[in-house]
Amino acid sequence: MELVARLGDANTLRVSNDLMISTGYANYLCRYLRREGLLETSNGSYHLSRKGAKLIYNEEDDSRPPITRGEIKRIAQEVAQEIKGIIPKGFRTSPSHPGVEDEGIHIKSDYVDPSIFEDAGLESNVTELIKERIDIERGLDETVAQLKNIKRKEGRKK
Amino acid sequence: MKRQPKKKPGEGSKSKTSSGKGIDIGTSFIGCCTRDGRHGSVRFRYERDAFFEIDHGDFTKGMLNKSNVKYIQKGEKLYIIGNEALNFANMFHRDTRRPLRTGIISPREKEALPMVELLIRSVAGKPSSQGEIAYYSIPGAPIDKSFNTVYHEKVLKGFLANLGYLPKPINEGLAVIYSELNGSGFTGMGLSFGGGMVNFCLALMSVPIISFSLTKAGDWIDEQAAEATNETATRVCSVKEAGIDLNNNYAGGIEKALSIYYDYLIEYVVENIKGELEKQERMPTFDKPIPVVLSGGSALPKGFADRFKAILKKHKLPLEIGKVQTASDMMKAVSKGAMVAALGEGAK
Repeated sequence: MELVARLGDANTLRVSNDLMISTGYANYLCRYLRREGLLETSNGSYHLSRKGAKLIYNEEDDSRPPITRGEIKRIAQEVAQEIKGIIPKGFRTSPSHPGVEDEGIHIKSDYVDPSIFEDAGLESNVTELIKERIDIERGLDETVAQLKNIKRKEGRKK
Repeated sequence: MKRQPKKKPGEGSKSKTSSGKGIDIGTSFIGCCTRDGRHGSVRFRYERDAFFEIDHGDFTKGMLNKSNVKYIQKGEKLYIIGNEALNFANMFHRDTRRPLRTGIISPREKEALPMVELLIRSVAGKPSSQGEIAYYSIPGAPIDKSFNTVYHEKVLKGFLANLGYLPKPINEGLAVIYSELNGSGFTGMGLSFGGGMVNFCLALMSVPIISFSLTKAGDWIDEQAAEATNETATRVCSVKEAGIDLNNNYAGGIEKALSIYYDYLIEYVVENIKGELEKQERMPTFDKPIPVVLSGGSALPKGFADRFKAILKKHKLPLEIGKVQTASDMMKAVSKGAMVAALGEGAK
């Protein structure tokens, strides 16, 4: 099903080639998935049915990172940048209470969620026992100098 | 490349090092390269990116310490780290857990973030000076799966910044080119066959032209071979790493399954390279045949490069291909390339 989803549509020959199974078995699998309502067929090719697509893409959604936090961070930054561009510098809200002066609006656009740094409580001996070796890399200085040169030339061109 | 006598782990980490580190944050291994003084001496610290949870008894930690087994304790949980995690998993006929999956921080592992941070801190250590440049590897955009790597990249950046580095991302394939293709002026194709991804980059004079990643790699081979042979993926991985020879015509078993899926993976990678090259509307002109470098733990088996060459020859690419070579150190190429980038930028 993943293969059919990736290809859009596929005949049994393609399925057998890609999965490295016999055409007979590929044919059996495709027909079985069609009977189960997960694939549909037209012009000799199989494609995902609505039920199949739902199954595959729901699974995809579950396997996405729990990025709500990351996504929120990214969106928050984008929104902050956008608002920053719209609101003129030095903009002040009108005082909410007579006689009380409100502070100007400050928009922070470099938000980093501190809760991602959670390892403070971890106890470990990894650092002491980590694998380490020292190699002699001949020509390393020349490689670095060569890269610097190329980058410098590129910089000049720009 | 000659190896010097091995120092005790951790020894010498305070010695004078040049400014700039290269960190390879891979699905199977996390490694860091630092120049250790002058004359091309390079310190390489690395650890397997896998863990296995065990019961935490009163004497467990003491036993693990005595046996030099790496662990991380989080509250009441104890996790074995590194190669020993593989041994434990094989003993219990189970799979190890992985903080990264298909090249990015695993969405399925709650423990992933602190685990990755600790491993990065263990291999990279503290910066030699505040704001030392650390180039860290990131995968190219995947072309066979729908997800992006922004979250992964930003989280790693946060970890390194928190340690006091000036973190900068570098594409994994480009890092391979920086490490191995100085002879061709950093022009060529760099491929890194990792655990979770295969990364590709084509560069001209150090400038990346095309880069992408594929989410079928070493772990995929292990999983497929495990399914075919009714074994665990961890057991298959152990057999693979014990050393298989792709030139051998295995009669059956795990080795045969591995050999079959290696063929499939290489075909898949070459087909995708061809597809992506053909899609390019404005390809720069290369005046010489383009060299290709293969690197990464999944390209370690004997005979891998020969198979790659044979399959590459079969699928005619729209560019003239020159020498196909393997990296001088398959496991270190990405972190070394990242270090070259950092050193190139660090000392003015």
